[in-house]
Amino acid sequence: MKYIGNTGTIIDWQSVVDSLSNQTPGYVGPRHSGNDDIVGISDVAKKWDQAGFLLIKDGGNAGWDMFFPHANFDQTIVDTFADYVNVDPISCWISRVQPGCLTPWHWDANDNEKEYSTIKNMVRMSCNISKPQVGHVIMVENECLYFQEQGSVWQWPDRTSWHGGINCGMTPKYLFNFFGVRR
Amino acid sequence: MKYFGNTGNLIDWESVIADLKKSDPAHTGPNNSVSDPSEIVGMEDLMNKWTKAGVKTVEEGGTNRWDMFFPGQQFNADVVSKFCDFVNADATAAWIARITPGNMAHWHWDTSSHENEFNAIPNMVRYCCFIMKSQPGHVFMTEEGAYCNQEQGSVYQWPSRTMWHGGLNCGMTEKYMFHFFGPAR
Repeated sequence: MKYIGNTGTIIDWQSVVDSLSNQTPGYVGPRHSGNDDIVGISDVAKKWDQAGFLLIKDGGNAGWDMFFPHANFDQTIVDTFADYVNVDPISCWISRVQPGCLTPWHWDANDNEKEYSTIKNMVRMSCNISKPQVGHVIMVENECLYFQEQGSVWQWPDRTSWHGGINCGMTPKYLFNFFGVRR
Repeated sequence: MKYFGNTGNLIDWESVIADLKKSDPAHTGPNNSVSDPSEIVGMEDLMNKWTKAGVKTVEEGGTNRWDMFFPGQQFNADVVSKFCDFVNADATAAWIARITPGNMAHWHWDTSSHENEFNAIPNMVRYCCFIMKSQPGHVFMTEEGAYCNQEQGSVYQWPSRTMWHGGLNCGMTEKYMFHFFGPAR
C-alpha cells in the first residue's frame, strides 16, 4: 500500500465517528450470499464456508456495519476527501467492526463489478478515521495497518485487493473506504 | 519487539505443525484454564475489560478462543531444547497457541497463577516465534506494532514478559505460534 497523507486537519473525523456511534447502520455486511449472481461472490463464500466462518446473521461474529453518505454522514466529507486525493468518487462508505468481530479475508465483489472492471484509472483508498487503538487492524494483501494516526490515508494496490479487518480491541473500529477515477 | 533471528534451519516447524494438526489441544483459552481463575493475577481486571467491550468467548457465541499445546505432550520437547540454545535462555514455560479462522486471542497479557514466582526470577526474557509459512489474514499485535507476513521460524524478543498483545485470524487456515519465556543464561 502507498501512504498518501493525513486528512485529520481538513475533516473532523472524530465528529463523524461520534455521530455514527448513535446510528443504525445502512446494513450489516456481508449483504450478499454465495448464491448471488455477482462476479467473485461464490468463490469468496466457498472459501469462508471451508474455513468455518460464521456470519453475524447466523449467530457468529463475521460481519461489519455499513454507513453511507447522505444517509449516515454528510456528503461534504466525501467531497473534501475526493479533492484531497484528486479522485472523482464512484463509491464510498464507512465500515464499523465491533470488538470481537471481524471481516474475513475477501475482496469487495460488487453489484457493478462488470462495469467497474472497464473503468480506467480506478484507484481505491482507505482512511483510518478512529483514533489509534490497540487491537484494531486491517490487512491488505501482504501488509497490515495498525495504530494508524486518525485521518491517515492509504492507497491500495488495486480496487479488488484481498483484505480483512479485525477488532480484538476494546472499542469499535471505523474505516472510511473510497474508490473512484483519478482526475 | 526486537527481531532476534530465524530458527527455520534448526527446527522443522512444518513437521511440528503437522503433528499438532493430528492432536487435541491440552486446553483452550481463556475459559478452560488449567488454573483456578480466582488465583490468576490480573485475570479479574482482564475479564472486566473484555466484558465492558462486549467480548465473548466462543462458548458464549463470540470469537475469543485459542488452543494450547505443550512440549512433551502434543509436541516434542526437543523443539524447546533447540529453541533454548538458539536464544541462550532456559525455559520456564513454552507453548504453541493455535487460533482457528474467525477467532482471536483478544487483547490481553498472559496472566498466570504463578505470577509472583515468575516475578522473582531474574533476567527473565520472553520470545515468540512465527512458526507458519506466512498466510493472509494471520496477524499478531502488540502495543508496539502488528506483525503479518512473517518468515517461517522468525523469532522476536518481547520488551517484557507481561506485554499486552493479541492474535487474530481472519484468514482461511489455522494460525500457529510458538511462545517462550525463561531466564537468560
